[in-house]
Amino acid sequence: MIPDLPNLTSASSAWMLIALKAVAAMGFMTAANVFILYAC
Amino acid sequence: MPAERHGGFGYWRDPVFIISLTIYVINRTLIKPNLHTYSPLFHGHLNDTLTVPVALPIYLLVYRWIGFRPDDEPPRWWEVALHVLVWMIFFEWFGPLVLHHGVGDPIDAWCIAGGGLVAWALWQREWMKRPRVSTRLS
Repeated sequence: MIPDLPNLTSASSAWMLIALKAVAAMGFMTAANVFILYAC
Repeated sequence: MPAERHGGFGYWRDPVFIISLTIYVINRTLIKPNLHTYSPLFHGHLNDTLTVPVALPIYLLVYRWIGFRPDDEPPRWWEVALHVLVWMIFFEWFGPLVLHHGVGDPIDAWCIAGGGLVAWALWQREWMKRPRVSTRLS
């Protein structure tokens, strides 16, 4: 069976977006934690 | 486009956040500079107890801006628990041991968890929530 390429691409983009948001959230968390550790 | 769910959490307008931040600022600017001897409460445990109610709303607001948090519901138990776990590890182990900053103290770790538990309980109270915005068209 040939995979539905547009759906596959769209699902892949959705996962990439979630992964990107997760990386951004973890980056913020790390930076904020370091800030709290040194400034508060 | 899917409809976004809106909850009653005010983030920086949340009363628990505002009161906790006020206590932190008073301790930092008025109490600590005027203490002549070391006080475990004012120099250590109080700040750790206020970690969740002061920091978590800001963290969640940024997650919301990023699009990582889908709604404005008050902090869920697992959001509080996950951050408490990360902060306990970061402030009580990673900071002192790896970054050589701060002091690892098991009592401080319990203070972070205790403050998180009290804040979570307050955030679940209905009277703490802001009125929900109706998304229905009349």
